[in-house]
Amino acid sequence: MESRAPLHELGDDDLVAAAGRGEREALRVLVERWGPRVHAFLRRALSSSHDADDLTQETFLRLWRAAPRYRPQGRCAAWLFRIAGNLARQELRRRKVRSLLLGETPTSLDDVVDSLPAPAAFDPESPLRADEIRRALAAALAKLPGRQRLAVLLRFYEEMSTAEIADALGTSPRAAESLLARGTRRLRQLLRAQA
Amino acid sequence: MHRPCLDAPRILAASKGEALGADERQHLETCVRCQEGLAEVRRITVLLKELGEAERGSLAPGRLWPGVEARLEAPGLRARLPLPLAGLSRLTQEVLRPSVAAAWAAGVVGLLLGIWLAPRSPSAEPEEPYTWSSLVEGRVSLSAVYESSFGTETGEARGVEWEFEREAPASGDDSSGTGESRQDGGQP
Repeated sequence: MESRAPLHELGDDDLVAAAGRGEREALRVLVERWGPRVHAFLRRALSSSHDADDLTQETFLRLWRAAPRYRPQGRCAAWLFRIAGNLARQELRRRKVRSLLLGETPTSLDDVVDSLPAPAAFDPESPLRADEIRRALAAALAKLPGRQRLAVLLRFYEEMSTAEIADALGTSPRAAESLLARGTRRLRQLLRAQA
Repeated sequence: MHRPCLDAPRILAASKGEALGADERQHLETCVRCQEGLAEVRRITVLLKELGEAERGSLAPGRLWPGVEARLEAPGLRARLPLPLAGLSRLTQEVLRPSVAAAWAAGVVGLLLGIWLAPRSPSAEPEEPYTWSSLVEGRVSLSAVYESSFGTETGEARGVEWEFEREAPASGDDSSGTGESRQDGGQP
């Protein structure tokens, strides 16, 4: 009988293939490996820990259901963030609809600040231990238009290349570059205005 | 030759350590504006990277799996739907929350009530019913009676006619109730 390496030693593509065969343990390893990154991305994209919890679960449920159709190309991360990015965009659209139909207020600065990690989570040398810098950065990010924010987060949080960002956002590399450039420029303006 | 400043994508590329062209490098060495832009993007890059790392680190290990597993164990309608419909069902669920559904139902009932009551409101109701004698005596026109019974194509036209037909008797001293005296301005 062919022996297999322990699941946690397998690459992402092999884990997705195993998940596609119905191995829940493979999904668990993927959740442990990628879950915190997906969660961090969604938390900052949506400025809400609660929504990030829900949509991180949803991301992996969708991965589980789509895994049998996955073709291994070594692009599991881009695929995962594409699912998460789609969910984030849907949620941002839903918030717009809710604010139109139900008169709900958009995310407040308090929500944004509440969704940030506590100062203790940062390196002692990091300027982000200072409340005002953390608040300014989070507030500026929250003010970016949805797709620009996603592009900026994928670049700076996930250190993705423009091609990977394009893949994750389902757009062309040129459009991704433009989103990223506009997002970064706007972020600089917002931070300068708050300084 | 004077080279224009680096645009945002090139500043971003430089901040990521990507190789610049010779003329771009030369420009960057001399242009204070581009140097400041690059330094600013680098600062933002560092801050965002640290924020991302802190956010990833602040999540307790193993916290996510129980939630995913619970949803795998008890897949509801959403988990069985095709992907696009699952997203739609999320919005539907949102809109159909009891409190939201109650607000919508109240709105619809209010609208229907408004439509039902509108023709009976005092402003639309004739102050006194048309009578055969008022029609014969010319105090109201046949078209006004028709419109009050069957409606009119243009409410505006009806309003004008109504005003003319109804206000004339009140303005004239028409004690006899004849159309003649009304047209004469009440003079005998």
